[in-house]
Amino acid sequence: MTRNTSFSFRLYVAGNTHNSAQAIANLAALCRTHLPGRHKIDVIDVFRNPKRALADGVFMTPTLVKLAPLPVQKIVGTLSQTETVLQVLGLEAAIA
Amino acid sequence: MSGNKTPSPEDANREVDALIELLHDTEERLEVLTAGEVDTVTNRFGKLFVLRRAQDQLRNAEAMKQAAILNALPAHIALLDSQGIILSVNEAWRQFATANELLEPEYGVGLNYLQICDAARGADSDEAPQVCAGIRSVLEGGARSYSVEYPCHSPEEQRWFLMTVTPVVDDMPHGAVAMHLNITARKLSEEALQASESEFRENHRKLQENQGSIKRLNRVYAMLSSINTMIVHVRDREKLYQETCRIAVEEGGFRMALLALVDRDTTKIVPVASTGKTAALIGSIKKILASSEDAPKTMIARSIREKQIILSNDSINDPRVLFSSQYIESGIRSMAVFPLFVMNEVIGVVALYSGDTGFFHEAEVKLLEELMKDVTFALDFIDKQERLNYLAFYEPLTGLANRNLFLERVTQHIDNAVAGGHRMAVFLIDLDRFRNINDSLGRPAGDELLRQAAQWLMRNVGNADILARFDADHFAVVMPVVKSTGNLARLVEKKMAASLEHIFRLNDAEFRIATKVGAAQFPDDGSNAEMLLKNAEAALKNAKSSGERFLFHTQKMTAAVAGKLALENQLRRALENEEFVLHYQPKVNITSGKMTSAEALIRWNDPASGLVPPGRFIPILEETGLIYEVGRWALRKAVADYLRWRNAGFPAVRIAVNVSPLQLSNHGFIAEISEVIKINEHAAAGLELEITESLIMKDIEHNITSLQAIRNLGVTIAIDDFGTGFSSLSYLSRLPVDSLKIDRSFVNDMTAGPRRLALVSTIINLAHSMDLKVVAEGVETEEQSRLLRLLACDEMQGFLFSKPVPADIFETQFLAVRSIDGLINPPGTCGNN
Repeated sequence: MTRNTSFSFRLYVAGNTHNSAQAIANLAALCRTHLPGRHKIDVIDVFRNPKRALADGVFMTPTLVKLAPLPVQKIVGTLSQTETVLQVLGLEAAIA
Repeated sequence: MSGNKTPSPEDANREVDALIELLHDTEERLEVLTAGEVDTVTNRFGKLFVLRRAQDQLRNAEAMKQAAILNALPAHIALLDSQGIILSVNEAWRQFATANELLEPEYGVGLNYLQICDAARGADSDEAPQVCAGIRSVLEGGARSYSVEYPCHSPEEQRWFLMTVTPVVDDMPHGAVAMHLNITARKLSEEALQASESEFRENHRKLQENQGSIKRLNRVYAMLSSINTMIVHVRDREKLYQETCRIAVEEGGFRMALLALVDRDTTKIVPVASTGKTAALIGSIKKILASSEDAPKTMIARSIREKQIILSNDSINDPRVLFSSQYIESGIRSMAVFPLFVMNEVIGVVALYSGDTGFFHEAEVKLLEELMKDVTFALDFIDKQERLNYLAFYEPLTGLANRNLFLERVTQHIDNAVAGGHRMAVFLIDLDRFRNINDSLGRPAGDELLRQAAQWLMRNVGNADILARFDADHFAVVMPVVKSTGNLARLVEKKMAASLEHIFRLNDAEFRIATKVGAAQFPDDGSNAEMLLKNAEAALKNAKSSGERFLFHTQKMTAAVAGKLALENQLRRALENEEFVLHYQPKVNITSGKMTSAEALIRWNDPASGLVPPGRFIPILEETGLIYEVGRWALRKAVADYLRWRNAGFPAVRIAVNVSPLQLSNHGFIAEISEVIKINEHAAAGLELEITESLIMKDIEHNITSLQAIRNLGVTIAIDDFGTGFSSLSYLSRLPVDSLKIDRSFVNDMTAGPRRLALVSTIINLAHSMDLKVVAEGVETEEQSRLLRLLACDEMQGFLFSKPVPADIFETQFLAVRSIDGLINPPGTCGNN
């Protein structure tokens, strides 16, 4: 993974619910800090688009799906444990 | 559940219960498993379950948004259910309910709006049945909306509201929203518009009815209004006279107006103001009023005499009008003289001259009479105001500032003190025996004493602005800048002594008046004028009860001031009683250990407390100027001792005397030295002056000249405390001095490290390079002595060798011994200079 690798995320949320709002804020902060200028976030509200969640195999909200770089990974929750999130995304090595 | 058998209702219920329980358990487990971080869960078929907590959050968030919108609206809004019961209300409603004391229960929530309408009684309830019907039709689905404007007056104000009722569409198909908007402003402006329209019509009608009369009255009204506006602002008599005449002509449309006053002393009528383009006529009137023969015939004089209004509505044909031809020329057709009353006395008149015949009808005269009352009221008011202004700030008996004005001035001085970073003080002075004098000689004598005391104080403080008289016999003085406590104490002492010397004459008898003083200082005794004065008063009270003559608010300050004063007096006495003594401290040659000279140090042998350390009294000597006398005494004494020892056959060692800053800057100093040494030809050779480095450097050019002159007399000079001032090397080489004394602090630090040692070494080398002898002061240890010897220092002085000792001990311990040494040691090893 190089420093120029671009990250593409899809975040599934449920309207304005507490956990979903937190997940959006946490993801935005994480990207600002660790992936400035090389990320894309697509937020999908399952209340409006229930079928897309099903297509992606997402059964809970909030769920973060990392689409690129491969492999596709999923994280369920508010993303408040920044270190764990970085580790799962394989970003820990890159920033260390 | 089994086969085809239709389940019984109980079984079905049980099944539903079990399912709900399962779902409940599942949800709880899900919450636990996801640590509460999940909001929704979807099953395999895409069915979305919102977890209960998230559901609550969503509902709350939605409700809050709705409430926020409703609360932001200015209209009073209530949500009604299908029966008309108020379910909830917005913020504007709550505020309205609070203001109108409809607080129970919960701003009306729970009450039935329709029943409230039905029950409405009173002046504004006419619309109530109609409103009820309107709301019902919306609740029952008969109407899409209903609105009505209705009055709702409170005891304080008139109010109108617009009520709009609309059905709640979504969740509550049978409820309604009732909204009330306050439309009072709109209603009022509508009514005002209607009212002014009808007023305008009415005025127009009247005008047409009697145009001439209206015109005259309108002019008088305009005049009345202007006069009233003017007297609210005018604060000055002259201005009031002028303006009254000007307004009469400009607003009232009179051709001329004149205001004359009765002089109280001469009873003459003096015109004080007039307006009108009729200078010649005014001149004639003035002239006739000045004539003692014709003046009484005038209408003005009659008005004053008869204390009534004198009218002449047809001046041309009126035989009472004196020079009617001149009036005709000036276009005057009618005139009236109005007396001005103050306390039933006529103090003057206003004469008005009109270009219209028959101007002064009953209505006009009545209005003008009112107007004159306003003018006299203003005059009276100005009189009283002037008196009040004076009384508000000055005390009438002495003409000094009173407490109010004094407080104001003290406040200003405090501001200045803060800005200037200095202290200031307030003194309260009480005259002793004042009550005695007042009681025995009578009040007039008491008043006279106060007047004389005020004058004496004014002369002594030199400025009436810092003086005041309070109640009875209390005077106050503010000292805007306090330089030092000693200064303050001396000044007060001096003034108090002076007051006692002053002779007051009352009823041909002489009196001496003692005073008591209470003082408070800023900032120590108070941060504002009130506080300072209060504390000065408290101090004065203490002074009176304790018999003290002068007390500060704080004990510490009083003690400090008293202590300084006492010390000063003691020092004067010490000089007279010869309580000062000289102690001598030998300086020795560092290699031979033999004494070479000695420093004379002033000590005060106080009979009451013994030897007083110099630090306690030298600063006071400097402050009071006593240092001149004590310094002169020390010079004479040192020279006398030297000569005595010399004559007794003791070896002659130079005696060094310290010179203070005041002495050196004194122009007579050189003359003084030459006078001291004149008594004996050997005196100069026995005297050395020690002058501190910082003192020499203060006015270096002048001092070089002075020092040279002193040296020319044969007296040697040493630079004292060398290293503590800021000597410039270039000056040092030019200074006409003989030796240099290294300050004790350098000697003390010398053993602390190589750097300190190097410093002393440098000073010694420097001095030697300029042919100066070096003396180390404050040598206390053998180690210091050894190091100084290594550094080739010439002499030393300090406790290691001897502390300063009285003259007799110095004589027996050092001079006598040395003379023996001198006999024992071969010549040349004595190390004398």
